[in-house]
Amino acid sequence: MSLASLSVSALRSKLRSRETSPVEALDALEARIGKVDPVVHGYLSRDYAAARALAENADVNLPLGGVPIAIKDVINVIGEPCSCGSKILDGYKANYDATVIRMLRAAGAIPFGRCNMDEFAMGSSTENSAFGRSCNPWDPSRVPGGSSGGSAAVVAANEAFAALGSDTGGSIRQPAAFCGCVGLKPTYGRVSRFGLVAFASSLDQIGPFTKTVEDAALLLNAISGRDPLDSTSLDEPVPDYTATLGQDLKGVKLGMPKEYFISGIDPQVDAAVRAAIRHYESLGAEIVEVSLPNTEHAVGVYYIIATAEASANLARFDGVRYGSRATNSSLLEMYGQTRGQGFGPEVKRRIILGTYVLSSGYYDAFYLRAQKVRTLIRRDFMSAFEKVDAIICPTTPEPAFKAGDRSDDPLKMYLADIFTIACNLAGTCGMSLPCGFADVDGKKLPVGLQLIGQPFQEARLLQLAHAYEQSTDWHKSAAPI
Amino acid sequence: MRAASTWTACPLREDAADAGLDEPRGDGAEDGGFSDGAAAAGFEDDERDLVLREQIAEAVGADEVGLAFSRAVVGLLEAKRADAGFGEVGAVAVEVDDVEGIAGGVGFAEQLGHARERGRAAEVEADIAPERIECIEERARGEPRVNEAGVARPADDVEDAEREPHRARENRFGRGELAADIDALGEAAGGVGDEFPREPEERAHVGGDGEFARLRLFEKIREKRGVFLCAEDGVVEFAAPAFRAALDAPRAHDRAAVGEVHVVFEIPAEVFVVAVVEGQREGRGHADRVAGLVFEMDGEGVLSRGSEEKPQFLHGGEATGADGCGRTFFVCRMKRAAIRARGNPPGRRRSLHGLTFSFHSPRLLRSHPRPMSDQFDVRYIAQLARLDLSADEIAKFQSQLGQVLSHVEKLNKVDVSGVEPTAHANHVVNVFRADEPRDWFSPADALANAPRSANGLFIVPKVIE
Repeated sequence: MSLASLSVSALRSKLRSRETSPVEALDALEARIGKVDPVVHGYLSRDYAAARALAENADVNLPLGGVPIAIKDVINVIGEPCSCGSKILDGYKANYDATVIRMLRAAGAIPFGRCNMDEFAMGSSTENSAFGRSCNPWDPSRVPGGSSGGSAAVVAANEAFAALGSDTGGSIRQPAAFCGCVGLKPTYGRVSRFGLVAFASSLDQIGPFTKTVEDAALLLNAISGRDPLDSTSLDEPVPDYTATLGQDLKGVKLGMPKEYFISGIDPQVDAAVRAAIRHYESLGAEIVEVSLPNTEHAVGVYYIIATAEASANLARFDGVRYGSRATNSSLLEMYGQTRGQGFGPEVKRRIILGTYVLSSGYYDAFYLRAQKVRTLIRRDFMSAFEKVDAIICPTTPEPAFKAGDRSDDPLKMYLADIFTIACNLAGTCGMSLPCGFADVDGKKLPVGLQLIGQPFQEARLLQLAHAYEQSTDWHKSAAPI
Repeated sequence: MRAASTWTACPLREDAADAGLDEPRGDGAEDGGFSDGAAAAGFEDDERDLVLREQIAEAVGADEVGLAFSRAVVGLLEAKRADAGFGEVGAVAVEVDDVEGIAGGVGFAEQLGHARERGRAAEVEADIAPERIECIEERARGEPRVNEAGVARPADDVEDAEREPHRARENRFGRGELAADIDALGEAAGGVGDEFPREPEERAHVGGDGEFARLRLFEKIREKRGVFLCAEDGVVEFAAPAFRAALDAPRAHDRAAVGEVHVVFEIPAEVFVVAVVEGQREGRGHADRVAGLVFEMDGEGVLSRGSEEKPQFLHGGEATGADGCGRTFFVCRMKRAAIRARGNPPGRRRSLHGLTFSFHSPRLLRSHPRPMSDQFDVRYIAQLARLDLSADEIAKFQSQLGQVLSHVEKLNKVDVSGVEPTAHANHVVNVFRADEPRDWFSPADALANAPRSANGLFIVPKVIE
């Protein structure tokens, strides 16, 4: 087994026992990247020299001492680009660290590599990157999911030990499902958003991509907690998320939302998820049917709220303070042309939609109504959580789709997020973990199992995921690249 | 009503006579929809009309600018209407992008005249869509015009003997044929006034058809954007930009999903609907049933037939088409009388053949725009967002986001009464920190990524012209 394919916890043991060194780990990654990234295209850039300097001085006794972590190109790391997959930020260099980066550094980790993504995290396939799409390591003709597709792909292709992504409507869980890795979206307010380039501020949350559930717990340990620089981060206690791992599932109740098991789900996905649910029963969990009656409205609510917030957040890209500037002719022309030339089609679409739903006369009918339906969606979850500890369902209705399949049909693309969006609207935590494979055109494609937990109950979620993972072998299969 | 204190008020009578507006014409609206529409708008009351007139006179002022503008609008409408072959098209529209800009400028007719003289047509075209001007010029030359369907129309169809004297007549601007034409065509105002009382005695109360119609126009001038619409029965209506959809076929189909009939625009007597079917339909002989209505192509245009309606002919070519994605769309106009025949009073939402029509009076339509995708205008929104889009992008987004909005409209079916909005998943309020200085970006840090900077400042193009 090559060094690059190790999990974070396995690498950590080897580092602590001096079997290997942070520089060797970095070099192993660099070699692996050189071999497979020309196909995967999971990275937009890497600063090997900077990472090596950190690796040489790493304190391996820290929780993540000497472990390189890949970072989605939407999170600021000082001295590195942060293009957000957009031409408008081509050439931008961050001059500060996001809080999660500061915390990772404090835990001894080494930020290494900028992961490709859908432009400004808008998309479900990474095809919206201005710098070319990423490929799914299980079948390069397919997408790795999105928007954090690069983060998922580099972890699945063993080009990274772990990565950070961001999840606004499923952007961690959906690519994790497509690429066969573990992806965790923490509860809104669990992790600081400071330094994360904002897409939809009431939904965005940073979270880890890892090869194992234990690794997800390790990363969450490092990045959780209140941050004075993010007023929406909460002062909830941060437990040791590895503490619950290995506890048995006696007395645990899992809710199967009937609205998530509908016709239209790929039969192989459906079968894999149902098998996983039976497996949980065999582990001692009780399965209860629950209802989330407003599920069908989630996509509509999301595309109002997320685009509305995006249209406001992206107003800052106007050619004044950073990024490219198209012209110096007049102020209004500069705004219009800079934005017109700098943003890609999906970002423009969402700015238009968001501006429309916030415009005078439409605010009440669209935005306010969507916020009210959001309340109903959140209530659905809260009443389900009165009966169950977590909700269990598919992460996506289908396995990874072919590149180009949906790029001309935004609505179809949006509906790919149907199972992940509600979790963001409710503001609770969710994760995806591998639960099997679909055989499509002779290729093995990963299937993701989604667990949605109560707010700030990530420990329970990780416990549940860990129990499943340790009693199955899915996570041991490596992408054939 | 907004006060316009900088505008001077002066008597209206003289200008009304000058524009030939004292010759009422075109009662129209035999189906009764007309008066019902007026009733719905609350204009049955003479007193109200008088108040309205006073308010308009006070607010707009009957100065040269306002009058010239109103005549121009009416003239353009009339020219367009004549050109289009009114019996067939049923309604025409003049788009006025920024009415106040014109009305507040040097006077529309003068502006038009000057621009012509100086060869600066572009300046005028920026204010009035070029085809409208072209339309007037062609009429002035007496040339037959090719209509939107690509069919050359005989000149006598366009020529209207009663207009000749007006065209020849000397006018106050003396700008030659074009201005004369505008002036003469102001006669059309005699036929406008959708809320105008039908009986002669009633008309006397408000000073004649023409004057009242112009008063209504002044009110309309004060709306910033929109379409002046002149319908078959002589109704002149100021409408929201949404009406463009009804005439702008490439965008009209965006509002309806396959198999649905979608109301794209309403005027007092008629409803415009768009229906979309799967597959390509070309040439004649295709019939499709959508939501209980028959849409039939006879090669020149579309017939829509409801079970209790006579076939309604809609103009050809322009109003039908394909979207390049295997769909064909029909835009049809339907008599509201046919709907009313079912005993549906105006002012309520009704269902006909599974279609939902909402009965707004023009006034209500204005003050309470329906917040639906048929009001969705990418071009306008892009301006708000300071986002330059290419023509291709506009067309594409209009179609794609129309579909997304149709999906989003399902939210209207959710009962949200008494539900608090969720702005945020975590209910935290008043997160404060100590107001103390701390180490943060230096000016150099802040400027490090600026496209242009100097002397510790961001440099931007000149803000004040």
